[in-house]
Order: sequence, then structure tokens, then C-alpha cells
Amino acid sequence: MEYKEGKLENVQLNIIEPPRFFEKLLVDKPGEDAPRISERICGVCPVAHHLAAVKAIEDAWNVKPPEPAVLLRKLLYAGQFIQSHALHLSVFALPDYFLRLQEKNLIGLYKRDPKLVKVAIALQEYGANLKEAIGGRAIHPVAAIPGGMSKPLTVATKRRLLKNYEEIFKNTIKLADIYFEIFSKRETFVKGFPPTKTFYLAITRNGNFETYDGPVKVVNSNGEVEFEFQPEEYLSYIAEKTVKHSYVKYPFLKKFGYPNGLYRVGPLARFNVAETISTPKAREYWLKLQETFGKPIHHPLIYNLARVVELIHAVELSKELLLNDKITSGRIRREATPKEGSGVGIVEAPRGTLIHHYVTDKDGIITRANLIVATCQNVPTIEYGIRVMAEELKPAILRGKTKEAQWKFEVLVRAYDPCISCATHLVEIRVK
Amino acid sequence: MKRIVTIGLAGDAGCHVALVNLHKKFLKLLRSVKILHSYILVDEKEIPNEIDLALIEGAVRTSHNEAVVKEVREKSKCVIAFGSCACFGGIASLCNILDLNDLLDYVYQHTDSTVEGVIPFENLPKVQEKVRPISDIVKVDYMIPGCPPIPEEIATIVQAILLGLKPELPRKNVCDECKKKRLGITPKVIKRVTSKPDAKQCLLEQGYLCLGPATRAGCKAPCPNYNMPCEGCRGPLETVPDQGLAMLDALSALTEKFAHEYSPTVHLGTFHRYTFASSFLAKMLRSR
Repeated sequence: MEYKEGKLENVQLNIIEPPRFFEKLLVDKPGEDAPRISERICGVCPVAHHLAAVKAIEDAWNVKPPEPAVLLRKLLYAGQFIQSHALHLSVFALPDYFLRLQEKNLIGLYKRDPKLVKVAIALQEYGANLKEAIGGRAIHPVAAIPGGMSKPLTVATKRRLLKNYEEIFKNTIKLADIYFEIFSKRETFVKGFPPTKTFYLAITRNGNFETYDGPVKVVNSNGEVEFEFQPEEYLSYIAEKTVKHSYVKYPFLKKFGYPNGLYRVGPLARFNVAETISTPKAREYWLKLQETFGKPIHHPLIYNLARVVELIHAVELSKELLLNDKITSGRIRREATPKEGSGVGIVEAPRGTLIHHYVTDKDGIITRANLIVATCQNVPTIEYGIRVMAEELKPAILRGKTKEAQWKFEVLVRAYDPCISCATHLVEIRVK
Repeated sequence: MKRIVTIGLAGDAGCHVALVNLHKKFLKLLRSVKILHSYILVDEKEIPNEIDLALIEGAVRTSHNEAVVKEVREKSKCVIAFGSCACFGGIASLCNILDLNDLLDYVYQHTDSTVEGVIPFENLPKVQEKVRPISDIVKVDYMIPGCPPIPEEIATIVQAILLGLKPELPRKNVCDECKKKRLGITPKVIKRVTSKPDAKQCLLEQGYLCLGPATRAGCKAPCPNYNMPCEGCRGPLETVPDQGLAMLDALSALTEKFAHEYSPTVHLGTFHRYTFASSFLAKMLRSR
């Protein structure tokens, strides 16, 4: 951001992450390789790409996985949500809320409260163990294949995974309570970040919170439903604009154009779009969130509380799935036939709605790929929020208090949990 | 206390997540070293001086990546290429077969949902013509390959270096660690993984393109164990100069028919998925 002669001149969110051109890289590759290639987009939430890709190819080749395979995928995905959310809530975001912390990072937090960090690490370990057991590898799993899954879950592995469940669950609630307590004590701080009114987009099924599959719903800033569409219709509703100053593209809702059609995805959007969440403890905290902050909620920092609710849900869901008799079934794969087609796969990634679209030729080789990844969809709103805050913080910045301002901008960005939160030189303030 | 930095270039942070996946051992590591600057763990912006050990994840894709690698090298006693992107260029280097302008043009102007706009240029580091492993830019002291590397291996190598020892990578290939049965038969047809393999028998013998023979061991063969072919993410052994060509050569010797089925565009990602930037094949194509 640039201030010139007392005025805010320019705000740019420069995403300098090197483009890796996956949309082009996937072209000419066999469709069945898409789940293993595209997951290299993100090492923090590979399962989201793994599943969006496999669903898209299944859609293109018209093959449906058997029910036990879908259950295994949902369990794999629960592991992903647990690991990603636990990692974000502890390593990335939590240090921000201990305001007197000298070093506002994991190491500072660890020095102050080693027990808390241990709890978070144990949670993320449980998530990683689920991923490894179902997907074959804790990072970049291999098991989802067009038509189903490549290996069944054994009863012995299932028992091992359930072994420490009670402690895992207890720790989840502990972490949740820490967050809810901090947020109730620091209401002024939380509400000090500009509430941006946008549309919200998420998949949902019959009003329920959903991550693996379902139609996409969009609500406006009053919480009213604008439209609902099926995955294969996404191009009629979403478009992307490219900008000169960033390597990410700026998605928006076609109906409203840019920038009126700015929308957000991720935990806050899922909370605003869905009516309820299926598991009991998560529902309790969902209602608590609703009672405290109303609905829809626009405050960006509440992303973290919505994330806490989702973490509880994923932990509860993992148990529910592990106790399902069909989870150890051997009927997990149908043979897929590579052929000509076009398919769309949409999932809710930990960071928001993720869209994969592939077109294949008669041999099932990819001829076109289009990906709209979770983080990109929040970037235009993050930039807008930074602009609003840059105006609000102007007096302080012009008085030379840039360091504190810089940290506040970073807290705002981190609330969204983008894959870019860690980029060096995140905030540069120029005063002329 | 040893001074450590961890860096993220063109990659996906998976190597850093692998580090966190040491779980309790990760916390132990945090107590025994000083992490001064890190891609995800510490929000210190500047790269400090007098670094004992630098872990660099990701390949070099932009001018910014190149500047960072050079700065880290200058300030560090020991530089580790952390993960297959840093070691060999990684998966993003499959794009090296294409022209940069075509890549930018397709991704920023011609995907199905892109409706308007420009190819980004303002206040951004320049995208370079090709993806390069960090060893193309600076001297690398050690490699920890893998997409991502195995957490235990990271811990062992880092600890050994901190103690002044010279760690070595496994000298076997993935087949040596694979539990599937080999009958010594030759594949008659090449199969795609859309068909279901026999879970007990060697995938390659059944005709699936498994890169186990050309790939460095150390992972305990999780992919074949899950009935999916090894895609070679740990790269080749030192004795094998080009992982993909070695595999192709072996296959052609086994089945004459495959030589006719090989398609450079379709199979580039099969044989050189993680190593194209550092392969002989890339060099040959460049010099043409």
C-alpha cells in the first residue's frame, strides 16, 4: 500500500507465488492420473484436489464408485479436514490471539503453553494417520481412482484408528473452548477488522453442511438464497478475471459482474450458506456461534471460529464413519473405461469450494483442464478488506506506527487461511 | 544452538507439512535448534546471516526464487535441497516442454472460466523460461528427495548433519522394499490403472507402468502397497543418470510392443513426472 501526501494512493495484493500452470500441465495426461498429479497443487490439503479430480473424471467417464468407496473417501477427507484445520488453528492462527506474546508464532506459543501445542500436534497427527491409513500416504495419497478406491480398510487398522478416539475428542473440545473463550473476551479486537459484505458460496445438501458432494448454493449478504446450481453448470455462474498485479485470478459471480459479484468461500461461507451441521457436538458449537454473532456473519476473524466448529464435526464424523459396518467392505471398486467426455468435480476444500473440470478424448486423455481453487476466490475480498483497513489505520501509519499496522494486516489475511499466509514480505507500507 | 532456516520456492508446502508430520519429534526438534526464518513456522521476514543449515523446498520458477536461493546460499554453511522440486525440478517442470508464452496465454487468457484481463506483470517477480532445480543455480550440499520426503528421513538426515556427520541416502530401489510377489514373467500388454490389478503380484509384471525399478528406496513402497504404481517421486539412484529413460529402456527390452505404444506427450508425465527438468531428455530437447 502506498500513502502519498496524507492520502491512501494505492493498494495491491501482489500474489507472487510462482505460477505452476497446472491447467496446462494436465493436458495430454491420462485422465486417471489427474487425482495424483493435481494434488501437487497443495501439500496442505492434497485430498481436496485428489477427490475433486477423481469425481470430475468419474463424471466425464460416467462411472459411479460403490457406496463403501464413497464412505472411505469421506473418511479420508475427514482426516484432511482434521489435519488442515488443526494445523491452521494452532500453528498459523492461534499465536495471533495471545496478544501479549513476544514472539507471535508457533515457537513463541510453545514456550508459553507447551501443553496446548502438544494437544494441537496430537490432533493433526490423528488426521495424518487417517489419511495414511485410507489413502496410502499422509501427504499426497494415492487410493482414489476413477470407479472407487484401490485398497480396502482392514478391521485391524480400523481398530487402531479408533483406539485413542476419546482423548482426541476431548482435546478437540479443549481447543474449541480456548478459541470460543478468546473470542468472547476479545470482541472489540475481533470486530475491529472490517466486516466485508459479500455473497457466500458453498456446497450443501438439503440445508446440511457438506464437504464431499452436493449442489452449490449462493446466499447474499442478508443470508437470502440467490441461486443454487449443479456442478456441471458452474460456468454459467462463475467467471474469472485476470489482473495485472497478481498471479491469481479474480473469480466473481457472473450475474452481478465484477466487483459487485465478489463472493467468499471457506468455513465462514459454509456457516452462512448451510442451515445446520449433522453431528451433535458440532451442532452445539454451531448454535453457540450463531447466538453470539448472529447469521450471516461478515467479520473475517470469525473464519477461525467457524473452522473450530468444522474441526469438531470432522472428528465426530471420523468416528461415525469408522463405526459404519460398510467401511471395511471389499466392494470398493468398479472398472472404469476411459472415453470421451467432459466432467466437473466440486468439493469443499478446507479453504473453500474447489472446482475441477476436465475434458477427455476418446482414449480418456485430458484435452482441456480448468481449475478454480479455494484460496483464489477469497483473494479479491481480502484485497478489498486490506483497502478498508488501510484507510482506517491511516492516522496511525502516518504517525509512524507501521509495525503494529503490518501485523494487523497479516492477522486479517491469516484469518482466511490462504495458502499464501506465509509468503515473505507480506505487507509493504510505503509512505511518501 | 544451531541456526536453521526453511525456505519455500515454487512448490506446494508439502515438504514443510512432512516436517510437521514428525509430530512429537517435531516438537523435540524445535527445542534443540533455533529456527530463525521459516516458510510456515516463523513470520520473520528477513533471511538472517550466519545460517548453519538451510532447507530449501520448491523449484526455481521466478526471478524472486532465484534471488532467494542465491541469498540463502551466501549466508549458509549447509544447503539442503528439500523435496523433489528442489532436487530435480519436480512436477511443475513437466511444463518445460512447452513455451512460456503458451503457458501464460492458456492459463491467464484461455481457460474455460477466464473472461477478461491481462497476463499479470506489475509489481511481480518475472516468470522464467524454464523450471529449474536449485542445483542449477547454487551448490547443494545434500538432497532429501521425495514428493514429499519421508518425515523420519528428514529427521535422520538433519540430525546427522547437525552432529557433523555425512548422511547417505538409501542405495536400493523401491522394488527392494515392495512386498508384491515377483514371478519373473514379462508383461505382455501395457495396462492403465483404470483396470484392477491382482493385489498380490508385482504391478510391473502385470503390465502396469510402475517406476519402482528406477526409483530410490526409503519410502517402504506405499503406492504399490496400495495397488497403485510407483510414480518415481523419490527420483533415481546416483548410478542412474536419467530415471525416465532408464525405465523406458528396461521396458522396451521387456516388451517390444511398448516401444510402439510410447507417446512422448502422454507418457512424459509417466516416466519423468518429478525429474524432467534435470533429465537427459530435457537437455537433448533443449539442444535441438
